[in-house]
Amino acid sequence: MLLEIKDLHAEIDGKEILRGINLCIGRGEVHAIMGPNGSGKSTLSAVLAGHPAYRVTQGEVIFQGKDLLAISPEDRSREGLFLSFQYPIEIPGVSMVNFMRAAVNEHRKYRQQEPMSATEFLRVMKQKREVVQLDNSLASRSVNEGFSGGEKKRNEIFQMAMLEPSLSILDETDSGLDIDALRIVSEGVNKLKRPDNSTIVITHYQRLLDYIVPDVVHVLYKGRIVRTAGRELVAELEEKGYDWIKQEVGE
Amino acid sequence: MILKSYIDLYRSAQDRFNAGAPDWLVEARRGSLDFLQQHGSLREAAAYATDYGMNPDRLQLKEDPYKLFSCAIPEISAYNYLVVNDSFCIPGAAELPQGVVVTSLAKAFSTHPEWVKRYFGLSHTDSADWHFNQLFAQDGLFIYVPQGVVLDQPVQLVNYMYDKEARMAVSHNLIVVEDGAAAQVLVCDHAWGETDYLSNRYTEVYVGKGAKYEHYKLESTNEHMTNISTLAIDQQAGSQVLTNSITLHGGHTDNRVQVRMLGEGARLSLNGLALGTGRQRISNHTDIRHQVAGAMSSELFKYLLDQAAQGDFYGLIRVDEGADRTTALQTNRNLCLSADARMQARPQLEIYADDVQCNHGSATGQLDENALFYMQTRGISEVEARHLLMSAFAYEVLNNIGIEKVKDRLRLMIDRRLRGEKYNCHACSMCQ
Repeated sequence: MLLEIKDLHAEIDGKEILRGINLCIGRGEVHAIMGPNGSGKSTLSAVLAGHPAYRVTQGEVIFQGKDLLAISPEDRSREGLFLSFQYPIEIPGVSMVNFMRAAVNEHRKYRQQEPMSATEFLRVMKQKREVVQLDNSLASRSVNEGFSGGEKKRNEIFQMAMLEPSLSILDETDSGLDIDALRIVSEGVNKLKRPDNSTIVITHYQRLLDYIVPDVVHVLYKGRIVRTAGRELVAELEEKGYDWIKQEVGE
Repeated sequence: MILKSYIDLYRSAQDRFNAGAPDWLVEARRGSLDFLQQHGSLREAAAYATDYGMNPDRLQLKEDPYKLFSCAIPEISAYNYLVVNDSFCIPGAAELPQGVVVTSLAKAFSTHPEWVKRYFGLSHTDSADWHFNQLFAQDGLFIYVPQGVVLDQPVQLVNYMYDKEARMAVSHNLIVVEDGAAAQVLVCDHAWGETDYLSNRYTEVYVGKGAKYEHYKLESTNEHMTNISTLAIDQQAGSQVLTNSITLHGGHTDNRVQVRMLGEGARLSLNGLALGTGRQRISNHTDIRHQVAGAMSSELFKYLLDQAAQGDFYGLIRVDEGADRTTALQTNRNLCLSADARMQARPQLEIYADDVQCNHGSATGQLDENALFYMQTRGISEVEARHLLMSAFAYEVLNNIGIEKVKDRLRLMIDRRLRGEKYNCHACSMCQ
């Protein structure tokens, strides 16, 4: 098992958002987590990535045999966890090349590898940016600064390509994308798919899941997973909305 | 009564202070004496309480100072000059372009009396610091670039504080860049050992019509230093001036820059960066006077303050009546990295003309927590993430440096400084 979440409870500013999440993800699997606004989808991704604003009050998360909640955000990344942000952060003055080189070399150091040489780094960067069709001005631009909505999301997938995570969480990666950008981003994710890495796709809508096809679909509602099924659930949700699920759980 | 003791010292030793000074200066010093007796309010007045030694007899070092303190920016040639405490050290002969004079101000009093008399004190405004400087400064750097001549290399001036006992240095630099001429000056302030030092340095710059002038001031001293400096620039029509004051290490730093825009089409870029740690205090006061129509100024000052450092930025832009079509922009950004760091920012616009474009913005805050977290989720440690954010913040000011090698070297120095690495070269950290 790649990731096991057991009875996870988390709060922010004293307000409980996650109220007992249970989830298991095996190697090579693609899971979709769907659910209405405010159900806790983004909180789950933030807690897994280690955002300091959230407090875990109960439960545990085992990632590749390790207690994920006990380690720092940077070590979670170095262990192979990647979060594609719903709203990628702009960092004025820090160039993409310096940012990415720092990230890649910290990953290498963690694995006791030598830093990548400058030429090798640029070669890899070129190869990876082509996955999401970003042009060569990327390197010198400040991180996400002045990027369009589509470029920001492509940049997230580019970073994913550079860091080669074993588990990627794509948080609302489809929000704010036009159809072309959506296609480029999804194709990028699919190109990066390997038999041993897994993906969690968090989304409201079906359209991203037309491109990135999930093996398992979960519905998150009021901080709990209330339904888990195969990919056929996507079509059902698209057709009927979330109300029937709310009714089923007694709303 | 601290100031009184200096006045008394001057009175008791005036023959010695005035030896070598031209008559007009001796006369002007009488006025300065009167001024100080009536309005004796010096900047950093408390710093003068220490019993500092001065040098009325112009005693020179026994050693060859240029052998003791060589400072070369790697791979760049510059005309190098050294002021040890308050004395200009005459270097070996350098081949300067036709007609250019770079020498000791004390020497220029006799070798170029007309030029010195014409420009000395031109840009001054009455203040205790000006008069204190006029009373006691006996030497400094004198540069004269004749009409239309481009100085092919930067002039580098190292101000070096060097004594075993508490020492005050008062010096005066006079720089004249005539119409259509161009010059770049890099001033590096350094201090030896752990002696208490106070410097009061006044630099006057005349920039003629269509002339270009760049002035960089780099301070890398230590916590025993009180460094008071004034840079007063007069800009004639169509002239272009770029200044950048960078404080990397120091004790109390008090930089003042006064610029008068005296001719149409004059352009000014005024910049500064202050990195404060420990109990460092760094003050930058800027005073830009737009006295004529159609001139442009832009200002960028940034502070990065850690531990119990204190920063002060005061930026006055005054647009006189009739100075229409003035453009004046001022930006001040500050980061306080610790709970004890303090920043005071006072942008100030005084506009007495119509049809002007002026704006100012000042913001003080902390490192962006969201950016830190974002970088951490990419595997970058918090320490490294903070470093990347701090250097990005600081590097923006380096964009306004016109000497590439200096820019590159400063990047490295700032990088080291932000990593908390101490510089270890007494003479000049540029050489590391």
